[in-house]
Amino acid sequence: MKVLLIDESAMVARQLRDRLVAVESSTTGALHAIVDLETDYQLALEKLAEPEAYDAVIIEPYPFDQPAEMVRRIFRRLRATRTITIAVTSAFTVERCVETMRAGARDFFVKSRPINDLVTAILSLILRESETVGVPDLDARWVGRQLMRLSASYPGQWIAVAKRRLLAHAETRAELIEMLKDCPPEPPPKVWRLPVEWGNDDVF
Amino acid sequence: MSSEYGVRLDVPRLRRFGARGVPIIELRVSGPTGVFHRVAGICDSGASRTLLSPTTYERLGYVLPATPEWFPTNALTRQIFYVRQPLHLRIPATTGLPVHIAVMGGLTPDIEENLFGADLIEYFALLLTDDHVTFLGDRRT
Repeated sequence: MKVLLIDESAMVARQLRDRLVAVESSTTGALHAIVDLETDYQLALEKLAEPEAYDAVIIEPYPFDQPAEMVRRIFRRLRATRTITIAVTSAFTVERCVETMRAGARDFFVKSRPINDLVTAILSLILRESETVGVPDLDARWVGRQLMRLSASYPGQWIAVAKRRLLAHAETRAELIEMLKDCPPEPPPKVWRLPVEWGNDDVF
Repeated sequence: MSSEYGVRLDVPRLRRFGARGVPIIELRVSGPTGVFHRVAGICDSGASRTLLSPTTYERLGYVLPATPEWFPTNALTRQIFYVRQPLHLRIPATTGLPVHIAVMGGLTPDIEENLFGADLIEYFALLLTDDHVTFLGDRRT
């Protein structure tokens, strides 16, 4: 589980990160949480460019010295990727809470809570939400259902799949990538290495 | 035979477990709903297959059947019993598209840490260094 903590105060962010890692490893340990810090909201936005960069983001939605537009852009990106987003703020008002939740936060916490309570609440929220979050990979499902047929037809080969359709197959990854140059870039194809044999229980 | 490989997929070892010596890496594993989640586990070529611990398989959405068929596998100190489960793994690539593979893995309440086992060697050779586990494939001969 990879978490990004965005807060313009490095001291607050470090304190929160250290407590998160300590409490997580001493209690559940299930998340194996890696927590990255970012105090610059522009850089945070860049870090979130890759859709699967982080599983959860903890953000101060009302920083003093960062443009509000940057916060809005971060929320828009997180919403598009369905990343678990948790607001932790020192600037609590009911209006702000409503605004942040509407922007896509799963919960809204105030920093004045005792740190252990705060961290426990954040961790249990991440654990709960991580069971349901995410976009199903329909191509992976398709390959899973066709795996016996595909591995019989192309044993040990590399295949590329998009929109539940086999685009290309090749002996090596380099050959496959070369063949994909002529394919439309959207949606990006997914690459599988097929087993030589599948479903033969004797090998176990 | 050359030792060169055409495919190199570098997966960083999780520093947090560095003191334990064993290589712990993070791959993505899909659950029954087809959603890929990050899963940390020991990369152990001595383990016969990829096994998920209860905290992980429950988080991914797998449920053990009411009357499971248990298969044994020998561990260093005892036998581990597991339920077979095909698993889809996504291995990140530093450059280019991530690579997916399917393994006949298992779910077991007998372990606390997930294992990425020797079934990965059906696809790749593994190169272990202090910082990375590298998946090597497409041998150049």
